Amino acid sequence: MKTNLEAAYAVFLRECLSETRQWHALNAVIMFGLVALTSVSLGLRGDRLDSPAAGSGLFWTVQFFTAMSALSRSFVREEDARTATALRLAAPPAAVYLGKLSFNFVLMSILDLLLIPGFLLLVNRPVSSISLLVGTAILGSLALAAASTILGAITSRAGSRSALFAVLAFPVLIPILIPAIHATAIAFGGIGSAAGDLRFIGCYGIISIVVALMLFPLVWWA
Amino acid sequence: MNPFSRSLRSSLWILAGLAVVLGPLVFLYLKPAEGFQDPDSARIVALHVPMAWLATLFFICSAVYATRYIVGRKMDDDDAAAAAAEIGLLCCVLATVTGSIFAHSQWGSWWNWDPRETSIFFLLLVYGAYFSLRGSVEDPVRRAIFSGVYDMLACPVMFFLIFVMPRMFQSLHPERAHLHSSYWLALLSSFILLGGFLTHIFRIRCALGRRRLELAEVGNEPSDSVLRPTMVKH
Repeated sequence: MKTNLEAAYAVFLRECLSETRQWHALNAVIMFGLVALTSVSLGLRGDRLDSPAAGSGLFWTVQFFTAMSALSRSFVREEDARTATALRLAAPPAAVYLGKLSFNFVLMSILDLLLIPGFLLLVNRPVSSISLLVGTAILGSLALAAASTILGAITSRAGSRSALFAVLAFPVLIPILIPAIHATAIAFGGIGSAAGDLRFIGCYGIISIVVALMLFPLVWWA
Repeated sequence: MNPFSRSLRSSLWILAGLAVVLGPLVFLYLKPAEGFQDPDSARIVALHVPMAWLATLFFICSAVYATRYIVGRKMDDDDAAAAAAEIGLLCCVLATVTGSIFAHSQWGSWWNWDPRETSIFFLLLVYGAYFSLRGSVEDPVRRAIFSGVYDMLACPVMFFLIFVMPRMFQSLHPERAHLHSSYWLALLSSFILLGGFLTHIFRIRCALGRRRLELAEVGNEPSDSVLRPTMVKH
């Protein structure tokens, strides 16, 4: 019998494989991010964005909606393809959760690497610390994935699931978004220190993973 | 299973009666508060603050019942969790509305995203989402598990919103209000009276839920009508 981590790695590889077999689905998520970015940029019409807080608010709006379209998919795909039962038999719940979480995190990080240059190109806002911007985005993505992977499992088996996912996720993700917006404002030239914000996002991410690991088997076997 | 003993039940009736009689008296006899922009309208704190406290307490109560359901798998507990969330949501709406009226008279605007306004608004969203989830899952057992898990996930978020976030940002709300002692008395008595009254309503709502569950069983609607996978040991 495989250990949990080996099984989680296998689930992760399986997710990557099925993603590469469905490029159109990944394309749709990237296009969704691009559409969100374009609508923000169109709204500004090339005006220079003077306030760091407004810049970071817009950045996380794009980030949040892209995450909502990307993170709900992994469990919905299982239900649509009717592979959930096979996965239940093949791997323990903790491994399924960890595998899906790592896949969601990698997916969000790839989207970040596309969104950040896109945002900087399309929205006229100078950055004072690019490393802080990328760091906050990646850490935020990990926390977003940690808190919303279990919600994906819940909504994949409820009615009106794509709308429900955003409704359920938004309140739970608020404690990540508020410090992330604050830290990004500092990366955009705001005053203050982002250390506390990043620590808070990290702690919330870890708590989310622990709580979700405890509750996931209940949802998975419901 | 009745969580309320007979003596508690009768004291709840007395509290509910007192709330109806004494509630209006609080507003009539409370002096205008000193140090406020509009001292007369400051009387609303006797309703606003207890409502916010009660909303928090009922949400914690809901999460406790949800945990009890997850551990014991009794449908009564799931129903009680929903009942507590319903009353918590009612308190939350009342705290928001009275707060907005108070903000308009004191700060000149109905809404300005003060940290505490933000936290109460997100609390409304959390429980709005909780009821949307309950509405969109048809199978009762699955609904109970999903909403129980969401309730348990939302509880730490509530602690962040109510206790951490308002202290992270500058707020117009006073950290330690310097109110006249008569106000503290009014706040506490209105908290106890309204709390008793709402607990009484919660009790009735739970009893109603139990009857409904019993009826569903008599009506031969087994709650376990869907095919459910059985947990396997790995």
